[in-house]
This record gives sequence, C-alpha cells and structure tokens, in this order.
Amino acid sequence: MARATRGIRRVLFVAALSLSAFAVAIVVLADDARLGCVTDAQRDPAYQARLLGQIEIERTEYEIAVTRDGQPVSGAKVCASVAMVGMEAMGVSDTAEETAPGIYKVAVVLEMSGGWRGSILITETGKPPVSVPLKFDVG
Amino acid sequence: MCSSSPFEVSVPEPDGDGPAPTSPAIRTGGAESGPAPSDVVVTTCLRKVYPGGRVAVEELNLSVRRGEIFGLLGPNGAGKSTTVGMLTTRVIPTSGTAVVNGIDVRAYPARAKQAIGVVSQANTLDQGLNVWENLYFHGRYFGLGDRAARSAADELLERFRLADRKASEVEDLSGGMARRLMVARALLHRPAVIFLDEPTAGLDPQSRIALWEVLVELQGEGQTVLLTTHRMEEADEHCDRLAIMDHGRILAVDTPQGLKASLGSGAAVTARAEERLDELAAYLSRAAGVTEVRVIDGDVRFNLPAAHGAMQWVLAAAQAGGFRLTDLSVSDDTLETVFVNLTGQDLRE
Amino acid sequence: MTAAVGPTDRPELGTQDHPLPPPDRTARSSPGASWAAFRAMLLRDFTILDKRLPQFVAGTVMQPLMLVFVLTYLFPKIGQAIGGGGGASRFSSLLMAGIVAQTIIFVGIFTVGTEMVRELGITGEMEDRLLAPTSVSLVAVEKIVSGGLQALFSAMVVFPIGAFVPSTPVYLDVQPVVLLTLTPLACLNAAALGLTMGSRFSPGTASYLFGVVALPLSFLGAIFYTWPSLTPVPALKYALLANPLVYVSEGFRAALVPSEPHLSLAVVYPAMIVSAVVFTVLGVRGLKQRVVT
Repeated sequence: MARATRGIRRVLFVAALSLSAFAVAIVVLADDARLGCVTDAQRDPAYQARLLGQIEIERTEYEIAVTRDGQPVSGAKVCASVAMVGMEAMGVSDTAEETAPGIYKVAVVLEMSGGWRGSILITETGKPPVSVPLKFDVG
Repeated sequence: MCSSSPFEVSVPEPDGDGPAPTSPAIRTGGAESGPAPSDVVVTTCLRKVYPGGRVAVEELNLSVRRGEIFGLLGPNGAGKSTTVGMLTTRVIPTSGTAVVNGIDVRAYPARAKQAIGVVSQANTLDQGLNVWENLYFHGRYFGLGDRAARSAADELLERFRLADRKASEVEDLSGGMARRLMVARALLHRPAVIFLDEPTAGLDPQSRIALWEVLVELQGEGQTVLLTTHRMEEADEHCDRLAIMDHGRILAVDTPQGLKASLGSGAAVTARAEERLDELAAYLSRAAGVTEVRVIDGDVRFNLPAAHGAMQWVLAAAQAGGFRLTDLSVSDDTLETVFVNLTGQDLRE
Repeated sequence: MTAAVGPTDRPELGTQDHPLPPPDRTARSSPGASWAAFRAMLLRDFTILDKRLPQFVAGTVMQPLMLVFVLTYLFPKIGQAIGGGGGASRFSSLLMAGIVAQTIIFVGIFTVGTEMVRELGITGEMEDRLLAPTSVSLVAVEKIVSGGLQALFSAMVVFPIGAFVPSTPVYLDVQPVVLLTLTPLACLNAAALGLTMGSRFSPGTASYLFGVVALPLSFLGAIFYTWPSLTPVPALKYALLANPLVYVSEGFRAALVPSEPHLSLAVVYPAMIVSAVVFTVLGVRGLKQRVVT
C-alpha cells in the first residue's frame, strides 16, 4: 500500500522527539546566573569575598571565599568580573561553582601582570544581588 | 487592428449546421461562423510578443467545441506551444483574450486552472514521489480530500493500466507509461478541457497507437481535447477539427476532410529542371486544371485535380514545351498538400 | 485489429467498468482552493522529507554537533584557550546563540535553495504545482514556509546538543517571549533568502553562490564572537551590519544570554522584519519570472 498521509509518520515522530529534547535541554540549560556580572548591584558591607591562594598568570582557576557577617555563604549564585586597571573594556568574567560551603571556584585566566580591579557578584536566593569590590595585583 | 471575425477560409458553401455541436464523427466542413456560447475554449485576437520583439502568436481567433478533439497543426516554431501556454496560464498574452470554460484565463488564472488539464511534452512528473503519489497529490492540490484523492488515484491507475506500477518511482517508467501517467494526472480533477503538447513526441509506434486509443475513448465520454502536433497523419486520422498554424497565425480551420476538399486539390506535383524554371512554371500554369503554381528551391510545384495519370501528363507536357525534367514526383491528396499550399513550404520537421 | 505480439505497454481499455465522469465545471472559490492547495503542497514536501529523513537529520545535526563538540567540549578539555579571557563557560554560552542562528540560516538557505534550483532546472517537476488552482505566489510562499519549518527543526536540535555535549557548564537565561518571536522570524528570513538565491540564479550560478556565500556568511556572522566586541576593528564591525546572520546571532544572544552586551533588540527586530519582507518579495517575484513568460 503506497504511503500517503501515513507517509509523514516518521517526520512527525522525529519532530515530536526533537521538541521534547528541546524542552528538556532548555530546562537543563536554564539558569538564573547572570553571565558577565554586569548588573548594577548594591554594596553591602556585611558581605565579604576573598580570592584564595596565589594570584598569578599561570593559574586557570581561583577559589573565592564568600562570607556574610563572617559566616560562609552557601547556595548562592556567584560570579566574578575583573579587568586590568585602565582596560575595563577587555575584562573577563565568569560564573563560579560552589565546591565547598562558602567556597566558589571560577575559571578565569589573568593574562597580564599589573593592577586588576573588579567585583564579585553574589545573589542569594530571595535576596537582591550584592556586589563586593575586588582589587589585586598580579605578580 | 485585429478583427475578431474569423479568418478567411474558402469553402464552397456553408452547411445548415452552424456552430451547434453534433456528433463529431459526422462533422463535415462548414463555414467558420464564430464562437458559440457552448464552446469550451475561445480566444479573441490573442497575441504574444516576446521581449526583444519576436512575435510568436498574432491575432489568434480560435474556438474549440465541447467534446471534440481539436488539433493545432504546424511546424516547430509556429506558435502552437505558445498558444497552449497562453491558454494554460503559463504564458501571459501581450493582448487579446483567452476564455476557457467561461473563465477569462488572464483575469482569473487560478479559477481557470480548475478547468484545465495539461500534458506537457517534457516529463513533468514529480520525481520525489512514486506513481500513486503523483496522482494522489495532484488530487489534493486540486482540493480533493484525502479519501477522494485516494480513490481517484486508484481508479485512474486501474483505468490506465498502471496499477501494477503504483509503487514504482517515476524514473523507472518507460516513455509511454510516463506519458500515460501524465494524461491520467491531467484528468484527475475532471477538467473541462485537456491540453496536450505534442502528445506522441518521443514515443514508439505502439505507444503512440495506445495513446490515441486513450484520447479517442476520452472523447467518446465527452472530454474536450486540444492538442498540438506536427504529425500530419495522426492529425488527419484522429482530430475532429484542425487549425493549421504557421508563423504565429492560423491559416485555416476545418475538419481534415474539409481542409483537404477546399484547399488541397488533388495531387501535388513537384517537377525539377535544371534551367528555365520560371518559363516552365509559366508554361504549365497556362494548362487547364493546373493550380497553385510556385517555384521553390529549384522545383516547380503545382496542383492537379487528380493524381491518376498525373505523371504521364506532366512528362508529356514538359516534353512538348521543350523542357527537360530531371526529377518528378506526385503526391496524393493529404494534409501535407494542404499545408504546402497554404504556406508555400514543406513542413519543417 | 489482429492479435499482434506487442509489448505489455499497450493497455486494453475496457471503459465499461471505469467510465470517466462528466467534467466538473464549478469554479471553486479562490481562497478555499488556495488553502487546500497550500496544505497539500506542505504535505507533499513532508512526504518527500519522510523518505529522506535519515539523510536530512544527519546533515542537519552534523554542523552544530561538530562546532559544539570541538569548541566547547574538546578545547576546554585539552586546555586550548578560546574566547579570550572570558572563560570557557561564558564562551560556550555565547556560542550557543551563534550556533542556533547559524544552523537556522544554513538549513533554510540550503533546503529551499537547492530544491528550487533542482525543480526549476531540467526536470520541470514544479509544473503540477504551478498548475494547481492557485497563484504562483502561493507556491513560492509555501516553499518558504516549508523551508522555515525545516530550519525550525534544526534549531530545536541544537539545544540538546548544547545541553549535553560541552565539558564546561553552559548557562542560558532563556527569555521565552524573545525566543518565541525571534525564532520564526529567523526561520522565515533563512527560507526567503534561500528562495531568492534559488529562483533568481541559474543552476550553475546558484550552486556557486551557495558555496561562496555560505562560508563568509557563517564566519562573519558573529557566531564565535559578539558584534559589540568587534570594536577594535570598526571598519569590519560596521560592514558586517550587512550580514543578516549577524542580526540573527545577536537576536539569539538577547534571547538566551541577555546580560551579555549584544546588538540591541531595537535594531535586530526591525532589521529582521525588513529583510524578511524584502527577500520574500524578491523570491516570489524571482519564481514568477522563472515560470511564467
């Protein structure tokens, strides 16, 4: 029997399959993390953020210790955004992942020695984003 | 200025028939008295000039009666395909009107296409679909629902004896079968008229015969058919009426018998001589019964009332006049004669 | 007729069983007929697609898969730096938008373009559809819709690839409204572009065009980088505003990673609407010129 309207059965099946794959993917990919950390956020002196370990050119990732009122902040969305002093347009930023309570790891390469400036953006669930300024030198 | 009154045809006297359609088989030559309301295809002063100035069709007045097989006969380049193109919305006329089944083709092409079925000279079957699907989708394009399209497709496959090939890819069909499928496809939406452009071109003799059987049978059921051809024998045998076209104009319209009776008189003679052709032509034309004398391509051509004894007569006459003929041929009363007489030249194959 | 030994090609016609009904002379109303024809043509396109489904899926998936695999799985794994100092994760997220855009444009142009070149070429296969009781314009529009739907499918497929292939996390801040309005617009653009290229150029030229135009369109389409980041090369930056893919890429960045600097939606939407209209008109006219003399 020749395939007529039945002839698009496979197309419909594949279309349905890809639609569901798309939906699943969107859910997996969706994340409220703000890339680039470019939002204006208030400063809140209760929050502190500190880069752990040596800051040097060869390092590809850094750990940030985030605290509020001295206590580690866990489960927040954290991202770091830094640039060389005077070259703000060529800054780097990325989202950090929590590896230990209050410790967030971010993949960032600081390519040149000199003075760097930036901020750590911290968003705890249910709270507005908070920005903690950062300033350091790369040896 | 184009006159919409029909072209001149010299016919002895009009029948009492007038334009009313009668059984095609007994139609004899009658005066062309203009289109009747029941005519399926009517063109008025139809004209096509291509960019660059080439006039393909000029002042065409045509009418095709319901239920007849109408032939457009003429050599390549006569304008037949262009005419069909204008009737089937593929070519836009420069001026004039074309009406099919009461619908102005220029003004309402989409509606006109409902009434038109087309079988082109080239194979225009859908290569991505198989035989059955070509018919099925044609039905769907024309508004048939799924079920109606399926049954129409099955029915036509049966009828045209293609049922055993229903799942074949169209590339695998022979020329004759492909043409048959195209005819089936063109008929599927029951158009008022089907147009066939050189339907037997490229077919072997058996397929040609088979195709004509189909067309005659369709006509028997009341289908109107308009076709173009340059094959005189086929046109002569099967067409109810013919229009002879050349250089974009219709030269004559009548039944094959009518055309032969009025314009092809008796035998066509071609005599060749090495010298003094014009003298020979003048000499022969003085004889009674010699008509349509011309000198073409080193031949003297003319007509005689009958083919019987013609050769002896010409030889004797030429000898008596002191002419030496190098070649002589006499052809019977055929459409070819009609064509040659009308145009003054051979049918260019 | 004597019984001759003839080929099986000749049908014996026994019309008593299958008489042809009398001609149907009612001229159906045009809009109804056009809608029926449109649906039938779509059905025909998808029936043919169904027959070639494996090839289509493989071909559609291959390019985004390769790009995503190499750039967002392999490179970070082997420590190959890319995306400047922005970090692999950020680059991957930006890239997603670019790849969705590029896939749509590619599939739209290629499916419609190559079909047009083929069908208008030697085969004359379009004839049956051109003789359907509707306008030639509708046939052209159907091609755009059909190609657009195929481009849509290809866009959907990119997301699962982006979700599961990269080795660094990809974060998308999906803006549903932007995504749902932008995607059809992009698909339409792609298909209209394909129709224009396929109908206005002879087969030889068109094939050449697809080759020569497709590559620069992609690489200079803001796929691997954002348009605003081109500030160090201002001449190129503004020249690229002529590339439709740039608008689509930046538009998808707005839809997926809105916090990143990107070409403003206030520019993207009008540009895409205008380009869709322009190419649709050009393509429809191109088809008409090719099939009606």
